[in-house]
Amino acid sequence: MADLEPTSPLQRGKWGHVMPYLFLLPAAIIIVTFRLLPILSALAVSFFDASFGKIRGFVGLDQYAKLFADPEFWNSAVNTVWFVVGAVPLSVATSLFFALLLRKGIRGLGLYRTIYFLPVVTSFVAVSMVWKLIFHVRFGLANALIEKMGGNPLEWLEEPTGIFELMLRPLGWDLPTWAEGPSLALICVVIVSVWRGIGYNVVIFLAGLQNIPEHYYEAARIDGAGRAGMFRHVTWPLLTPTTFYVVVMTTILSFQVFAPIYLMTGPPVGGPLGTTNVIVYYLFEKGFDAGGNMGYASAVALVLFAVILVLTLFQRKVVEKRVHYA
Amino acid sequence: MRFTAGRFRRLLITGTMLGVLGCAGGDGERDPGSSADPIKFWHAMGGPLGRSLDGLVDEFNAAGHDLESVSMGKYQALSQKVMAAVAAGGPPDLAQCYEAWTANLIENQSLVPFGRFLEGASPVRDMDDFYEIYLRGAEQGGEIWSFPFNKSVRCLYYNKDMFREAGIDPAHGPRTWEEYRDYARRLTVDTDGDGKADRFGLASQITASMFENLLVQNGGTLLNEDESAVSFDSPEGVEALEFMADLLVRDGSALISQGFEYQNEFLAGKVAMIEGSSVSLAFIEGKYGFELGIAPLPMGKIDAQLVAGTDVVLFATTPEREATAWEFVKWFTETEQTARWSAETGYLPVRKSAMEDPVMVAKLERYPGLREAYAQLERAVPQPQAKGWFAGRNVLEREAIEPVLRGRMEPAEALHAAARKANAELLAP
Repeated sequence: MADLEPTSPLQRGKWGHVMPYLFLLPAAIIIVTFRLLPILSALAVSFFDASFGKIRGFVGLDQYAKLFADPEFWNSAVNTVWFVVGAVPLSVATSLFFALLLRKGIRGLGLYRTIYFLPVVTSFVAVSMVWKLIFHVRFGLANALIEKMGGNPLEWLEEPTGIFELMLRPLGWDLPTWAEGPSLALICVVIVSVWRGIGYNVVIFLAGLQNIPEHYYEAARIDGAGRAGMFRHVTWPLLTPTTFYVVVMTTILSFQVFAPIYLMTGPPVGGPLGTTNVIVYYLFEKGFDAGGNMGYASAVALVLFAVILVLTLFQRKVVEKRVHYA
Repeated sequence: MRFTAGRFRRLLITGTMLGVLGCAGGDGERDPGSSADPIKFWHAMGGPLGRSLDGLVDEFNAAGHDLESVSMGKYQALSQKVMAAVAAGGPPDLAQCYEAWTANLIENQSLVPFGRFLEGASPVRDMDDFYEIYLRGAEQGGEIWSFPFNKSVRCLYYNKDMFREAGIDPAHGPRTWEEYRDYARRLTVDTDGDGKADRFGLASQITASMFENLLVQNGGTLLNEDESAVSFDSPEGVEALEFMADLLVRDGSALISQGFEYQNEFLAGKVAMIEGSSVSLAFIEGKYGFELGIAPLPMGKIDAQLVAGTDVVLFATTPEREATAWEFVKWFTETEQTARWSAETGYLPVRKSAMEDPVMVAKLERYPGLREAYAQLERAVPQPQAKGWFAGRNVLEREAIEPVLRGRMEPAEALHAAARKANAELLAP
């Protein structure tokens, strides 16, 4: 509102001070009805023994106690963390890389930008189906390429073994189960999610790159900086607000991954051997699938909410200190 | 602050969930709708099954009724929608329903028992004509709460050409477990001589269905007598899972596929045998270029089968609507209609007399193994009725069958661990 002139027609007359709130009202109603109230009722329901359509009795923190005692919950939590740890750096690095390439005035720039953005606007169902075929053990493109190059075909989405184990086994190492790392199946899902999200992050990075004034580069060039030096001392620091935003957004979205898991893994979904069961799928299964246990599912939702909230606050308080706002 | 909006995005899940829960506070009051509204029948019949059902519904309506057939997608979606609709106080008039879903609906007092109509002014003709097994599955606490609608049995589909090639008599499928393994091994061929099998004797997805049938064939049961605990981890169960692991994994004569791909492998002539529902026939009809054989499942220690498929339940509304809904159920299960439904879809007829109906006779002549496959019904046992069963079955599939078939666990330890966890699901309120 700061840039509104004091003499703006909106601020004159006896309605002047009410007017801005009226403009905010429609969006506020929608956000309160479909976001805030559901969060609060989820919080309330998580203290009850509730199934589809029925609330039986107050159980206090029992749902949470049950949750933290369930190995399946911890398994899905660990898988989710692996997913985030895999997807966020990979997504940020690849999108920054492509954004830097696309910034230069190359021929057919518009076409490339469109191509990179295409996966974003493509239905996740279609994307998942196509990638599932690519990863098909016997007819997939991925294994066909590997065999062309003389390698041993992989099991991809069917492979429950951890990737560290897969990488070190040829060297004769045998890792303990806890050190095996995320399954190859989960990594496949990470790859597809990153691939689909690149275009969106590229567009944001491109906008960020455009905000860096040309004269910084000129000055750097005069000082004798090479390409690496310019990236290190001009582009990277001045791009940090954008990078920060991309990291925060990608982290939040990665914690909520559901569609590619639901569409690409199993049956049973979350397989092989539960190695792709992530927290939102766990929630869905408890709340909507065979169980119909709404109280429990709400507790899972609240725990996830708390984790994302704390992590985002941490990023705002700690990581943002390293962001240069020009 | 742009990303604060994004922070809320994850809550969409919660939001959606509570959109349903928001309606949960109601006290079950419902607006039954005026009697002019069509009678709503919610089902999960898609593809050829949906087309056949809609054809029959049209015919029913041609006699002056107004019944609307609504496909809800998969069974899982149907279950969710029925539960949500019941919670919101606006259930359909009729819905397909598994035995294990019924208990919840009875508890909610959402259903009308069928006894009221069977002994009412418009009873069915000759109740003894119905296969007795169906009514056993439909009865809970002395009342018939659901009515047999689309029931099926698992059977074996095989490629007669490949049988001949391997020197096996194509007149019938494997008849015992031993023959099953033997056939699978003999039908596995390395066609290009690279030391790896290119054609397999058998293909399957990782599913509890195959184990369930092996278990009952081995004299075991899924649940104990009063359905208060699982019993699939009995010595019979361990033996059945050992056999399944031999057949599908250790012998190297089977292909384990994702989802329904095993059906495509079979249709493409890359696999000699698959197990499938009798309904699978509707989906594979006309899509293969070999001589198709259909047979009952190979027999274990005893000749037994688990009935699959759903019943239909009737929701409490107004007497007029309930009566019309009942008229549809009654009409649909009459000999002529159940025979047509069976011939068009591969679901089993619900009446014995339907087996002699001309439509049915023609179908049985076209697929000679079918009569024998359908006869499995005479020796079948019903699905569990415990409402926690599907949650328990998920545990069985994920924590026993999958780890064993992927070579991560031994059948005995896997079944015992899964049983402990499934019992907790079974007893959940």
